[in-house]
Amino acid sequence: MTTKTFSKMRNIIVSLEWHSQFYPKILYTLLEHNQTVIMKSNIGHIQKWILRSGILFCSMFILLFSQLCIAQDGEAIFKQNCAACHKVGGGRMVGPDLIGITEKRPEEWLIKWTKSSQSLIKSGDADAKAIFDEFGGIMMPDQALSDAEIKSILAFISSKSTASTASAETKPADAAPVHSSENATPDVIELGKNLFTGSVAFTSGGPACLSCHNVDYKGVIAGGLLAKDLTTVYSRLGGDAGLLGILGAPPFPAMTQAYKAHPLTEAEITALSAFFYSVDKDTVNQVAGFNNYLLFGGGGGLVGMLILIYVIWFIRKKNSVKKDIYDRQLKSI
Amino acid sequence: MTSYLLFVVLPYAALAIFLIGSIYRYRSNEFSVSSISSQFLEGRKLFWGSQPFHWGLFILFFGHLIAFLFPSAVIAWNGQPVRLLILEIAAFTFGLSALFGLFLLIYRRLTTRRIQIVTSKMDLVVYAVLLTQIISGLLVAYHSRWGSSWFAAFLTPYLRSIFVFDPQIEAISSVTSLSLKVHVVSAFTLIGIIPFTRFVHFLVYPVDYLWRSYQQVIWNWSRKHIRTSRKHSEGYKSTNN
Repeated sequence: MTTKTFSKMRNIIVSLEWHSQFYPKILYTLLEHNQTVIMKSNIGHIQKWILRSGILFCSMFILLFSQLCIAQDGEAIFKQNCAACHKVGGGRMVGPDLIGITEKRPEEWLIKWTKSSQSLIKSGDADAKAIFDEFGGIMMPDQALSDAEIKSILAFISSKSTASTASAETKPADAAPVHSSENATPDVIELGKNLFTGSVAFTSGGPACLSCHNVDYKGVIAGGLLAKDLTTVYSRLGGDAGLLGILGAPPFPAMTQAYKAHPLTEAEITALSAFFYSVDKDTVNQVAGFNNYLLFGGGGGLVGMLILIYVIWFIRKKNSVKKDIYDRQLKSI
Repeated sequence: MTSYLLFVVLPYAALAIFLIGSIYRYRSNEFSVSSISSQFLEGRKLFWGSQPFHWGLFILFFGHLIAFLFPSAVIAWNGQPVRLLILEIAAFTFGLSALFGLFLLIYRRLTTRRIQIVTSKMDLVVYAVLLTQIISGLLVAYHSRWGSSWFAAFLTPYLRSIFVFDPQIEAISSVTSLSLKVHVVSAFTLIGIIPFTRFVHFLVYPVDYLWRSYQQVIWNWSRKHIRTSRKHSEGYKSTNN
């Protein structure tokens, strides 16, 4: 801080001292402030050092951040979108084992299939039809992924395939999925619904499904948006077989983490499965649950808070005193 | 690799810099550990910026801390949808209020001449990081709804794994929400730059101000002289009292 600025600062302080007889509290704080300013003027070299390291740190951050935006992480996308039904080595689940798939089929075909398996089947592709029939006519949902994202997934699959070729063994096809949820009683469905929303807690204390997932269903508030919408999950995962597998041992890393220490019991899984069956079936009765609670509630809350701040603190401020000091300072500069 | 850098290396670097840097700064320059208040240079805009900003950040900081320390309590509270809504809307309110306050503070710093004089480059860095932090937080709350629940479910275990020196980054790196990753990364960045910026003042929050009694400061100067002086340096009688 230059001498000139410092003397200006001193002017302000000294002129305020006159007020001290009336407002000792103000002056007390001011004294502390002044002290800080003096100290600041003595630490030029440390400030420079601090500034340099800070800039270095920030440029590091920006560098890392830009990399984060550019990188297409095939593994992450695979885990998020595909791992519920597919493994790479280790046998078939709801869908086929994808080991070596990049060698079996051309990339173009795989991209088409991933984007919309049904349109590929309809276009008369014999291979596509055969796969669809082999897996019990369970439709693979269309994936809203870009070509680049699918290519990064395929790159991940092919790298993983080469890593674990020998160890992989394909299991024989599972029996057709058992649709026991179709016979579920309303009580079980109700239990599943309450488990989903959290009104009935999981026995091991895991978080409610609603935290991350949404379903459109009567009487259920809008669910989380972090993970996939589960309104049609029952048919998407091929009924009970797929659901029981996933709920028993969630293949998605975030879900794995959430339920690692809090596994679901079998009864809970059955109830949830029954609930998802009901959600999928009663698709007509859906009621949109979310009415921008956050935006309107938050906006209203902000207004309320500003009023509160005004009432409690602003009125307490003595505007006239400070305004005069402020104007005088400007005049004296 | 990027995940490893962002969610393991960065946190540890940030925490180490924070610890060592803060202690070093306090030991070498005790009096620089402050927010370097500019209230006496400009008070009115500061009030409307600082109040909503600090209340917002204060509550959100403790909200995150509670979810970190008592995740099961948060999950239990969120069991009833009504309670979940109350918590989320309240948190969103404080987020908006912090953003509102920060905008005013940035506006004040950029437009007030007297504040420009005392603005350092690091102040601008502070604003950039805070802006990233608050906006990404609001985006997460809005686009990846019910963050209070899933924070307790899978971010608390990640953060704990950092503190027990056994980092588990599977879950956090699998998340597709970019704003969440930005939020986490900028949070650690914020911690890392604490010793180099005015952020240090949160370490020396004058808690005892809440209950200490008023202090009277007595000046051993001639009142009469000050009253009659026409020199600015000695002050002169104001017109309003």
